[in-house]
Amino acid sequence: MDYKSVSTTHIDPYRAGCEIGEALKDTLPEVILLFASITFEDGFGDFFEGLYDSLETKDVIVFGGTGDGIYETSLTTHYGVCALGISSNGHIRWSVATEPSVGSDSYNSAKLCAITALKQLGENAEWAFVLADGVTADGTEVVAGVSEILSFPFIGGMTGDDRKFTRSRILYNNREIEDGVAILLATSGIPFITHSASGFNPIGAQGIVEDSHGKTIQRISGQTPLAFIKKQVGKPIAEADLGILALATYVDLTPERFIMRTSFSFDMLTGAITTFGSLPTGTTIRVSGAGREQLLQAVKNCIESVMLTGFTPTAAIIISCAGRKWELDSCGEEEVRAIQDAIGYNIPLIGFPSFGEIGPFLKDDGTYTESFFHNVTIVICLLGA
Amino acid sequence: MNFRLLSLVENSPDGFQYSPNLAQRDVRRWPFALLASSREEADRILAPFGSSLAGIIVTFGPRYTWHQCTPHLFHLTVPHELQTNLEQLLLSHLSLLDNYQQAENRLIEQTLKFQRSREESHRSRQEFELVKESLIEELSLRRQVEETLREREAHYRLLTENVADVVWKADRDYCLTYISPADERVRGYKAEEVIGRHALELFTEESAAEVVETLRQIQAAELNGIMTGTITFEAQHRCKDGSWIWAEINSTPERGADGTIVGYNGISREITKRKYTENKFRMLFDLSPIGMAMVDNETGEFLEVNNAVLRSTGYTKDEFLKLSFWDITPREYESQEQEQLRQLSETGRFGPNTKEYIRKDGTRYPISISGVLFVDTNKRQVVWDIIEDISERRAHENEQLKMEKLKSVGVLAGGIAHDFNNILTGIIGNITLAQMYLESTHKACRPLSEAEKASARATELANQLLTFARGGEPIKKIISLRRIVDESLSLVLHGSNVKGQVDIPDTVHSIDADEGQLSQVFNNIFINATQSMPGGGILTVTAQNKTLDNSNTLGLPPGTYVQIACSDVGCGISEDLQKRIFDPYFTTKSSGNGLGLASVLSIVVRHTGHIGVSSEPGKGTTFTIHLPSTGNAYSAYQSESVEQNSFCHHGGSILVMDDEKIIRDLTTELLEYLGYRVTTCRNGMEAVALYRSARESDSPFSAVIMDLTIPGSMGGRETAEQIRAFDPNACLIVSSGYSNDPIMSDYATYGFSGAVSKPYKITEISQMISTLLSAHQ
Repeated sequence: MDYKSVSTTHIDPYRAGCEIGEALKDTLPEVILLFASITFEDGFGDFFEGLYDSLETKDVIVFGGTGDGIYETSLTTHYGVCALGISSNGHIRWSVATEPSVGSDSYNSAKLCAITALKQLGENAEWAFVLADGVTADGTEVVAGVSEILSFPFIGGMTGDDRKFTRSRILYNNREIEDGVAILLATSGIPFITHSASGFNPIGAQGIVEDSHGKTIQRISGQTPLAFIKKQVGKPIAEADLGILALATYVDLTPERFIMRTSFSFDMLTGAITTFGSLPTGTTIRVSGAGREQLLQAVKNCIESVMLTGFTPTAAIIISCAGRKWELDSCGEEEVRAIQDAIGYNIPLIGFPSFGEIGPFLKDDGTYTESFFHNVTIVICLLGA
Repeated sequence: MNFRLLSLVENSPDGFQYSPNLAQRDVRRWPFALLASSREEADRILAPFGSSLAGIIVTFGPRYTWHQCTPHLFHLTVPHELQTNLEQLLLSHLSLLDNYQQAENRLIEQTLKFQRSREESHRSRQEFELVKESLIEELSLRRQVEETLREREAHYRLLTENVADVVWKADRDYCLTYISPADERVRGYKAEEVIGRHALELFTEESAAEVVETLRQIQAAELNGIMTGTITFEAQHRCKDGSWIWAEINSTPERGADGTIVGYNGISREITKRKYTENKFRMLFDLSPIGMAMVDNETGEFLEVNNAVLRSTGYTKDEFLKLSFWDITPREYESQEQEQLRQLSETGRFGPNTKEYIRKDGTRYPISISGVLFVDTNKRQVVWDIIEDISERRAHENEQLKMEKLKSVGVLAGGIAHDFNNILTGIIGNITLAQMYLESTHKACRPLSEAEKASARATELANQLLTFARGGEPIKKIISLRRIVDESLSLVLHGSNVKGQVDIPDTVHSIDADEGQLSQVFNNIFINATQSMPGGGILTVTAQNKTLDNSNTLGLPPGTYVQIACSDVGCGISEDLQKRIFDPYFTTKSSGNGLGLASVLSIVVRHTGHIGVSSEPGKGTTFTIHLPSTGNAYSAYQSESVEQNSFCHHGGSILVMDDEKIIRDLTTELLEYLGYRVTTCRNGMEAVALYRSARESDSPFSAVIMDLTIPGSMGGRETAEQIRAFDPNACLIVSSGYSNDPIMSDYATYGFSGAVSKPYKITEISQMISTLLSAHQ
């Protein structure tokens, strides 16, 4: 496997595309994973023009999406484009499927997308990258739909914008897809290892979700969510100075295994909150918090866990929640640096700050849990040769 | 260098690439220079590529001009003669343009960053406004709440600071955070001296220990998930002046939202007086020797009970309070119980009734029970029972009854003994007379002697009866121990297969004792010994002189004693029975009355002596008697056989007063034999008249022998008084069949000169009269 990463901060989309294409041209990539900020006013049309003009071929899968910035081996910034060229010299087969209207029925859209991708692949897939519109999709349902079809752990993220929560794009082969879901599948042959971590700690008492509709929660343990959170932290959510406030929801009811949910809006009038991923009625949750130190320590712990397995990375993909960089009040370079401290600064690395992350937990015995939809989490995927 | 030099004109100068059809990559990627024939041609060719192109359109013209078409597109006209240097000229311009573009790129990038920063700031501002609104709302609410709290606090402070009880608050660690001024009034401590201190410091040590135990129980309950509410307890509180008071504390936990205790609120009320009263009544209740119990009138369950009832029934308090009165009342009292209940409902009280209770061990005991009905503070009908254990009273009554019976028997026995003694006086007296009239070799002497002994035995029995019936004081005289023992042994062992051995040296001191009573002592002991050896054996009697000092273990005063040991080799007495053999009515014999050894003990004690027993079952028994001795040996063992002409007499006349004719006749014959002139009368009045008449007629009586008891008439005591009134020197001798009458033992006090018990022997009478008349002469 050959990997090469490249990034550009060129404001002109064509030129940006040209820079990316020219950098990757020589590696003859089969797949270009592409993440970009949503800076180009007129869209990505010119970008793809420049990319293909530089590559001098359109025989390449370009798959990616927008986020609140980019991470690349040599650059971490709010604005730009990054790309990872992947070449297997024909040993790996790839397929991509997209499905529209993920916002209206996230589960079925994702499920159908997975079915289509799998069908197109024509054989067993062993690696998958899932993207969905972070502004419209219900991440929990997306993962549930994909998990119905794919029996192996998969990674991915929710596309986003520059913290405006108004628009995001999935980028696929000269197309910009809004309110959609897309899956990149690969057959066996990509050595990889992945893990997830958040750094959050539950600080409140347990609550039970008693009333929720889609991604909007209306009642937790007899109270409105805002009242419940206020009770746990002693202050209204807006006043709480405990870093990011998120809800930990328990997987298989063990105190150690929980996944995070954050809200992207709340209604002061009704006290309801809307999260990036739905929390079904009956879910047990606890208010959780994390500060800067906990976030960075989680990244270090995560990459250490991965490296302890003895895996030798030759490339890295990072999907880190945009909320983490907002809390860090940076471009997220601290997280990238922490990972590069572990894997090396020369390893091709790309990623993006997402509006939701998809990935499993790596267990101590080296196996994986199922893939979960996360918030305020970092998903690290190392690829091997 | 990333530039493109493009040309639309054929035969372009060096460095230019001719391309009549341009692609995006030619003009979009890098800044370019486009050589065209005209500006219009260039515009036409470049139009499809948008307006963001960066480059220089070059045309030839008469002079050198520079014109900006768009922000990044320029038009340069160059004279033909500068063609050769055109490449150099354009490259430098393009380099500038590239730099300019890059600078713009960075500017745009910075602008974007600035914009983001502003957006972040705006977002923060929005959040701040949101927070501010929320804060203002909260502050307003808080202000309202604080205002309300202040009002309420003022209201409650007014209440708490003026109430007599002490109001207090403590934190979760039991440290006081507030205490009302009442505490200073009650205990003398100012609030600032108390606030911040641990609540346990309020109490005395003893109460603190109890409170700690209560708190531990509460903590344990809380840990087990049991939420405790208000608790009430009493404790002794320290006062500033060193004294202490009792207070009743009501404490309520204050809980947080999650239910855990965050503090305590309470009220304490002084109850010292009430406590003293309670304690007093509790003590009265608990220590009362009379049983008391409180019973629920509806259920019959015991609600409270005192120690007296528990002692009698054998239950513990916990056990008893689980009982109902039917558990301890025998069923045969059911009708009585029903009657009691009826009385209770009609009159509000019942009893006293007598019934029985059943003890825990199943035995019964008699009680006297009475009850009063009242309604308690819980509106429950409760009966206060007074329950008296009358076991002892019953036993005492039975004892009294026995004693009364015995007394009656005693009176009867006494009466019989008295009459018997009178009869025996006649018998023995006549035997004595017969002996006096017969020659000593006469055949009839021996039977007469045996008859005399039998009469003596009869006398002893009568005296035993009298002793037991009336328990009289001993009439003491110096007697020979050896003689008493011999006589008793001979009498008891006559006809038995037990052999007697006596070892009483002549050096053994004489004793001052009632001969009859002492005979009883030995008779009873010897009879028991004989009966313990049904197959025969040896009964040994030894005596020795003993001197006891202050440290003697017998409890006897220091002095000289005679120690007499009576030993048998019979069945012996077990150690348990040895403790009881001297108890009245105790007997192991099927036909015994249990009075033999009781009377032995009684006689020995009245003689200021001591009796002890040592025995081993199967080996024999030894009774050891200590009696005060005279300190001198009995000078002669004088035979009591009748000796003719051995009597002393002084002559004179003697008045004999006795209601029994046989006594009068016998005494007359005896005294006339002795040479006295005898006048007799039947009662005291006759005696006084006769004595007075004789005195007045100058032929006074030398002595008067008068019976102590004259039924239905004046007896000896009164007669002596009357005679003494006109003749203080009268020689008056009292005689009685009641040998243990106090007058007989202390005759001088009652005005008599001597006393002689019936049946008396002629020697006795003779010696007494002789002695007395000699003294009067």
